[in-house]
Amino acid sequence: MNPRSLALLFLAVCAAPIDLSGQLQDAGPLVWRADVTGVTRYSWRGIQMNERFALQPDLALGYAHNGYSVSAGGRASGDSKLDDLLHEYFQELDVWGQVAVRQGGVTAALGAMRFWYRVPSLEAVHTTEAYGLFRWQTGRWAPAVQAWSGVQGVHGVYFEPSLTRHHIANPFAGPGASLSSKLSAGFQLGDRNPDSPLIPGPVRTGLAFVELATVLRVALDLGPVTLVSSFGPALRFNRDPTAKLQPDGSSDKVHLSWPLQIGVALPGRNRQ
Amino acid sequence: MTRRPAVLVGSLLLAGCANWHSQPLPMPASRPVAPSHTLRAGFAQVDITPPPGVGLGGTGPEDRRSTGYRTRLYVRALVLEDPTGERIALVVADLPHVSSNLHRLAADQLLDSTGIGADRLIISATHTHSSLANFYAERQYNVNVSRVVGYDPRIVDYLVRSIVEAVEAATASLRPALVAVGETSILGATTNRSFDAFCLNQEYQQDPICDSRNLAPGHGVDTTLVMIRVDDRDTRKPMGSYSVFAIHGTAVPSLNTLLDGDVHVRVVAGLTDHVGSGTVNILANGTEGDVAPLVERDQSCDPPRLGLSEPVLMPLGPSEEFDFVEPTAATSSRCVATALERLEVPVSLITQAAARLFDDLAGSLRDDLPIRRAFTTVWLPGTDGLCIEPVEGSSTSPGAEAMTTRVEGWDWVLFPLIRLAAMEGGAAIKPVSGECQSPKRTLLGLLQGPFVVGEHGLPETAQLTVVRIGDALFASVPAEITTALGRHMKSAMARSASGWTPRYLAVIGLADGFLQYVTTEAEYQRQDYEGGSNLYGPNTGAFLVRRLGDLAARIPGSDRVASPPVEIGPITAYPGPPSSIMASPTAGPEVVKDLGVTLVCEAGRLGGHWLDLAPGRLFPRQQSLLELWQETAPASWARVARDGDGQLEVQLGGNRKGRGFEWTTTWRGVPGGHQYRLVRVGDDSAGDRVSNEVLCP
Repeated sequence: MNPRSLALLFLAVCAAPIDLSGQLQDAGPLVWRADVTGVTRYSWRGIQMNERFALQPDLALGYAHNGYSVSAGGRASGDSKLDDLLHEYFQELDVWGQVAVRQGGVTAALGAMRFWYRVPSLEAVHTTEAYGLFRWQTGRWAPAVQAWSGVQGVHGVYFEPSLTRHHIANPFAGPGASLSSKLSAGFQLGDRNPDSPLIPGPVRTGLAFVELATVLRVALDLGPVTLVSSFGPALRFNRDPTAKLQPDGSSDKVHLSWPLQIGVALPGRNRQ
Repeated sequence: MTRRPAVLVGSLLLAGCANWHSQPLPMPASRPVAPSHTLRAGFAQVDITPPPGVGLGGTGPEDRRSTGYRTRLYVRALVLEDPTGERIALVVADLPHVSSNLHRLAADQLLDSTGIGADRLIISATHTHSSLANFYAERQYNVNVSRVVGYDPRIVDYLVRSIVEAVEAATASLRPALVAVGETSILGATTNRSFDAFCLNQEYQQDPICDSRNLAPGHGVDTTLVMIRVDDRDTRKPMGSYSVFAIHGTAVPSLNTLLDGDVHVRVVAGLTDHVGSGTVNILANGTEGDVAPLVERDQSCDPPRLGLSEPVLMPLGPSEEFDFVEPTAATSSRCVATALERLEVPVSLITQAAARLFDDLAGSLRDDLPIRRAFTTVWLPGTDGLCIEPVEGSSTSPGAEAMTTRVEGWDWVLFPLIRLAAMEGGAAIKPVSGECQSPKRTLLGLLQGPFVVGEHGLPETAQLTVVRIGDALFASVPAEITTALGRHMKSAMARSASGWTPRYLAVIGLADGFLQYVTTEAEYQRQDYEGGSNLYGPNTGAFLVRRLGDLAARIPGSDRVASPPVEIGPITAYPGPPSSIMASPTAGPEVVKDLGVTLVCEAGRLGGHWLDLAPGRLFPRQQSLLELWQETAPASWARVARDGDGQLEVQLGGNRKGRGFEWTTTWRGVPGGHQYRLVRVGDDSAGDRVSNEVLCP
């Protein structure tokens, strides 16, 4: 089944139980979030995209009702010196749209993402991938798997299974706070074979990366919005099968990075 | 209390870091009263329903900020005076607990007007988990009894004033009385929620019930309801009653956000219907430490559990927010509605039994009962086998079997020194040879003392009173006493009584202070929720048993001998820094012009809506706020509900700024085929405001 057929099937399944008339009468909440993440090293699918501190702003909008949601968003990734912030700093822009359903501890989502890459002296190159996500929250454990399939500009399928353990969260009033660890890995199935040599991505079947990340997350209710922040170490083994963006041919495949994220989200949450 | 979570860092760390804010409490000893040469009694009650918005207390992390009220809350008082002028004031408040500051401050104010000091004033809590908190003399309880954190001196003043008002009114209404004391047994209303611990007591190990673990109704709980019936001697009409029965106020689930008196307020209402309007009937709690109301629990109504708390999943960017996920409003509403229906079973059993006993006591009323008392203040740390430092056990954080908290089942290890074993028994047990608190595992390990509780963060004193009323002996204890320990206390008092034989014995729990739970030493070994709460270790129960025996021995056997002299010992409160939690009586507009009341009927419910004053201006109030009327015949209306009756729920809505506050009300189970109208009862100068009339099909 090709991604387009899969998307149509998923939409049909999700839409079936929705009473649209009821939904119109009982409007669900519009949600949005905006974050800026600072990361000491930006790795993606086993590829170390840069060696510098990079900013990654992202923005998402969504409409959620009775566990169903429609959302869209985008993220930019910087890849040059900070003093270039206003001039060709952001080298990558990813825009996505998805539908999702969350019932009980099960979350499923289906969407598509468009990647644009700025390439010096050349016209920007871009790819499109369809993705599906399944996540099962059972107690403090959350196994999940993402699957990405090339639609335009790339081929092959990429899988990313993960297992998250949420260690603890503040059960009392005051700021929301949680500590979680996530073990994840990336696998490329089939030759991704990008149409352009300037498009990053693993090209062979096999393991792309393994990562263990621990994140302390704090959410402070500010009334109408919530201020959120997360910080913690991420230890990653990058197989880096392409080394396309590493002209120095670095052999440093094990990285420790410290992503720091600060953002705001709507709606606010009153934990009392 | 069902749980005093005392868990995790966060807000608790504030307690450890806070200043002491010490407040030496007064030491008022009772003054002699001129004898009236007749037995006299007086009753009174004062509405203490606070403005919605205060924190609900008793269930720790599950007790949210109140959004309204379902029942009114009261302080009820009975003052008895024997022919020699010996007085005793028996007060019960619809509160989760009573703290020593409420007791001492109220006694101090009552001394001049009534002669009643700390030694003749017993204030106990019904232990509803849906009433005020943030008034405690101990800093730790102002942090962890509710999700709303802090110490509000205005709540203390408010409660003390209400208690004083009730006792003064009861004293002012003293009149010649006839009094009878009796008891009855109530089966099927309660159950032992820590039965395995109960069966560790030596006297029950050979009990076939413990052997089979077949928890039949009445086993493992004290089924005795002891009642004092009081009639007017001159008119021969009932004045009211004072009863003691052991049951936790936890029938209303923790998802509730409305102020509610739980079991006790409904039993009292039912008994008052039976005894007669104008009477005051009081129900105190007994040895309810391990006693839960026997109601079916709905597993789907458990506390919030951890989960992804963001409504929309993001494929990129930071990790998702992970927090306790509150149930939907529909789920909460269903859970509360179901629990309220099931609550009626134990309420009905207790009410009917109490009503029968009240009637039976009519034949044994007397006008010559002696009243005697003995009182002591005891210092706890290191005294007579008690541990030097108060310590919370790990099993205090998950809550009890009948009402768990959101951290139940957590067994989290950060370092070897810190283990959060949020479970009963199991990992909450940590035997350490020679350690006073063994086998209790300390909650948060070495962090608890210096960083969470801090110095003077938990109670260090206890006030105990033993009162003789005729041939009945009542003891008051500032703790939640388990069933087995309560029996030990009664046995010790009966053995110690010199020159007379008590026929009825009752232990009033949650009185004049709060020490959390106290169990027998055998029960302590299991480290269930109650066992982990023994602040001063495994010998606390035996310590209290000895002290009550000593007090009982001091009660004179002869009616011609007065009560023994007392010395009121010092108590210092360490409540923490003051904060403002209860709504100000001066906030918001003084007048709301648009007081139109709208009534609609939808899906078998009546819903009302109106704009009104700010909560701090509307409450406290002694009179009704709302009345619901039904057309029983053409142009003939009858009142079918009023606010505070447990049926008409009142909720505070949004602040419309200068225009006032939105208020709503809901009435479920509307009989169809009638016209209804809602009345906002007018205040002093304002008239009633009547809604539109609505036909409910």
